[in-house]
Amino acid sequence: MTKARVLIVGAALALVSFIAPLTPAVADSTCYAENYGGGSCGTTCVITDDHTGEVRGWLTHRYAC
Amino acid sequence: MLISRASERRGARTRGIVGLALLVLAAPALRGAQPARPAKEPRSTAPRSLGASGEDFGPQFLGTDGKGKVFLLRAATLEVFALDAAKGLVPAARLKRSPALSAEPAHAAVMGRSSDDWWLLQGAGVWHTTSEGPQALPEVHWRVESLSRLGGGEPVVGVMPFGVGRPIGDRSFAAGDAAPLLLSFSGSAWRVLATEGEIPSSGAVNKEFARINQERMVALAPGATKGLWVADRYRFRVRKLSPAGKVLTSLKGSQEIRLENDKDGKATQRKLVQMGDKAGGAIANLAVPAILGLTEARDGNLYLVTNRNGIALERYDPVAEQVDRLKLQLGYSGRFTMASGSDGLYLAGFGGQTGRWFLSWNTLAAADWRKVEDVEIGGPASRAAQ
Repeated sequence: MTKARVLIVGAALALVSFIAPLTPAVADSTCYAENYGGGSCGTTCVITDDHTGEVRGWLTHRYAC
Repeated sequence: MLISRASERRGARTRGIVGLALLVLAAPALRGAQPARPAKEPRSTAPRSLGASGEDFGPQFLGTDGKGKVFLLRAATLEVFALDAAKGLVPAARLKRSPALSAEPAHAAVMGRSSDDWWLLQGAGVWHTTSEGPQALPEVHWRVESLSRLGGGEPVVGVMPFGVGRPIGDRSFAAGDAAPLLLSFSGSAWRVLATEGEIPSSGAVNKEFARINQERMVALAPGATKGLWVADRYRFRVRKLSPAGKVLTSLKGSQEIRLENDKDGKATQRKLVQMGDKAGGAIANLAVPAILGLTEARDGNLYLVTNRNGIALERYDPVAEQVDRLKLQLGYSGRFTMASGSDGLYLAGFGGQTGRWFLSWNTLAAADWRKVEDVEIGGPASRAAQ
């Protein structure tokens, strides 16, 4: 696992553990390897409340590609 | 002379009687001229609960067949039930699972032509599941956010303007190009059905990530016979598109995206931002959803569950060209899937434990609907449609 991925997973866990006490629901996350054009890429994890289906937030990490 | 005086007396008596009659007849109008009493507060309607799963069954989604029979899919187990206001959940089908499909959370699903034919947005991909087993559709190559079908036809996805799963150095799109909003699946490939705005620059993505996401998140519902309804999640803007992607109808209310303004919300955002780093970070979504779910009934009316000054059912009647609102008594304010059954309207919260509800057509006919004034209704020739 690359350093960036370790950081992303760590931050995702921190985010989920931070959001969880705010709602009685549990969060799901789905991550995407994104390309924004112009040599800019990123990983985005979409954090979703699995009771309501609402998007609670995003965890992003950007890098040049 | 005598005749003349008698005639005058009769004339005076007649004028008196006519005047009294006019006074009696005019009385209601005179009462109406008094200062108007304030309009009564609209009465709210409580949908009938059809229960909730006692255990955590994960996401649930509603669909309906051509006869108005309603079905419910439990995405975690791929069990399908007939949902009936009198009988509740009745097992109807079980779709075949695969390890790849069950490993990811389900975000959306739409029923195909029968109860054992569903399309699922699961993880980052779209699947077609039947009793013969799931089949992955080709990669969309944009971040998929929502899923539906063109009325009676092919699947459609709502996407964010961010390329996904593309090779490094991919030059097939650039900032400033038209940004795809909807793609439909032709049977072998995804094609752009509708675009909106431009693909943002990487600088704009960095600075306005939450806003770009909030402005482009849509809820989708198939047209009862053809086409597709597209509703912005965080502001009141709804459009009906033809199968070719042309705007047929548009409904436009306030375009402001409301943010949670409570102290906790702001604190959440500050803390999440502190967790981030210069290259990215954790961003809380503080936008308050405006449209929670929608479905088109068989008579052509569109029903939406909205969160504008409280949870309500809103109905767009395309014949009267009018939107009406009905306050709902409901202890749930997350996303819904909705289905128009032969006996009434069915609603399901996103998670199985949140609940399922029913409103009969008779209940809706007798309910206290109030006309919504602040919605602009437009067609293809109207600027509001754009």
